[in-house]
Amino acid sequence: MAGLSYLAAMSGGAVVNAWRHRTMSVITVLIVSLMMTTLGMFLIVESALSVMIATMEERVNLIIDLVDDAPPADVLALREELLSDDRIISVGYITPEEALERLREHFKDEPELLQPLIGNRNPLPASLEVRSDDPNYLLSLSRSLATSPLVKEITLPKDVLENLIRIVQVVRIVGYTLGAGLALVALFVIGSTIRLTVYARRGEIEVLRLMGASDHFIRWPFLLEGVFFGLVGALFSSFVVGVTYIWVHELLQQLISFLPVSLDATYLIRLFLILTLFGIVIGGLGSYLSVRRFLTI
Amino acid sequence: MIFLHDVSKIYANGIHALKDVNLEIGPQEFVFLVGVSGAGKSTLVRLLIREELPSSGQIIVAGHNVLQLSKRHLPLYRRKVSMIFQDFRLLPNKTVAENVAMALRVANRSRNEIERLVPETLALVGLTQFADTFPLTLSGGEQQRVAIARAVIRNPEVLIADEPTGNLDPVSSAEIVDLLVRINGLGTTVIMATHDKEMVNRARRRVVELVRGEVARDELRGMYQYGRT
Repeated sequence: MAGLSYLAAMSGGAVVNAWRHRTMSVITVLIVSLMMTTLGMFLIVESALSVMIATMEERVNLIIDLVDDAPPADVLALREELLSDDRIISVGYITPEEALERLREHFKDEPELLQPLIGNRNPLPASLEVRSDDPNYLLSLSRSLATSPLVKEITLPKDVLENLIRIVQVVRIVGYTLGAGLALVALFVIGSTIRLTVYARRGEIEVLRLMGASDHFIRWPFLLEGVFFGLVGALFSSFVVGVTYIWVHELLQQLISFLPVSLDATYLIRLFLILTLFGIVIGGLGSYLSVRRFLTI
Repeated sequence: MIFLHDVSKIYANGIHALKDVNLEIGPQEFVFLVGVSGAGKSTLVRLLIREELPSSGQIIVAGHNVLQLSKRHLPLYRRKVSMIFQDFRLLPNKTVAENVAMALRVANRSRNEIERLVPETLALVGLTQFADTFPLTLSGGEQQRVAIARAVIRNPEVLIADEPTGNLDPVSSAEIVDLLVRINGLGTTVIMATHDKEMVNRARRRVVELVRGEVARDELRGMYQYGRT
């Protein structure tokens, strides 16, 4: 209890300090909030894209066209072999008749387009349709199967997926760079503000020092002040990010109802926790570095 | 209690503030440290509280070799050796009671102890009625009594006073010295650096006079300037 009341007294002191130079405090909190809001937005965009990719990945098929005279036993063996891998969700066998039926279905409004192509006999091969949740595996599979004597041609609708994966990579790199840069700015701003506090209280620090206060007794209030800035910034940005998330979600639902952009409460809570933790760490670290540099005890 | 052996201090700018000072002060002694400005009183005080290190020599205070105090032990040492200043150095945004309690808080004393000792100590210096007022509303003499309360609440082995009456009128000064004498009577060794001739002559205590950084005179029942008062 004594430790708790001590901490409470210290925290009170930190808030009082922050109030004494409130203009600087407000600027510090605003910059920290800006940094954290950017970080939060980036995390949301990243997670939305990840969800989209995951959904699209489920829909990725590898279509293996088989040679016309493929022995059914070999085809079955190939199918079994493919299914033995965990990453394969399903392997469907499509007969030439089914393939033709699908094609007709696809072009049902303009059957005349198909006529010259097909003529009276069915030119379509039998094929295996492989579904997997791992597009990278499908890519390597398509390469290794290309040499198989059973295989005539392999089709992988990979362009869209690859582009999306590339976009997410870019978003991640930009986000992390931006996040790191903004974190440095926040560290610097918090450090400068704490430095001002140290300077304003140097007389008091000197007296405490001569009274036999330990380093940690003198440093704690400054560290807590930094943590306080980080925490307030985090709460502020959590609010902004949360409101934006809900708003964007509603907008997306109206615009593209088929995409699964679900409003995820646990995700929001996790996001708030990440931001809060990040704020505390940045605040504590910023003031720690400043105190270590400018508070010679 | 306090032992200085061949202590010299030469500052970076070449000023020779103390020259081969040898001094021994026993437990519960009351010593006036006198001398004109620049004689080395303040330097000696700074060495005793380890704000400065001597250029050469040995300093032992309350069983501590002051030159070999580690960073970790320095706060512990300073809790045994209290200090009061000419300009009081109170915390203006804390009440009288909070100022006095701070000396215990920095030493991590319990809340119970603080609640028991603060009123006791304020009573000792006669400031009970001002416990909840802020220092800047008090007179100089009262502020110095707050500083003394803060210094003695931990029952230090040594109390060092650097010109404690320098900013005070004669009546307040006399009260402060009387208070320091009483504290000395309770068992604390007191060293008071001062120019205050009247105080020194009235108290008739041990007087150590510094002249240009050297101990020029050390008398058990001394006057401010022997033969010249």
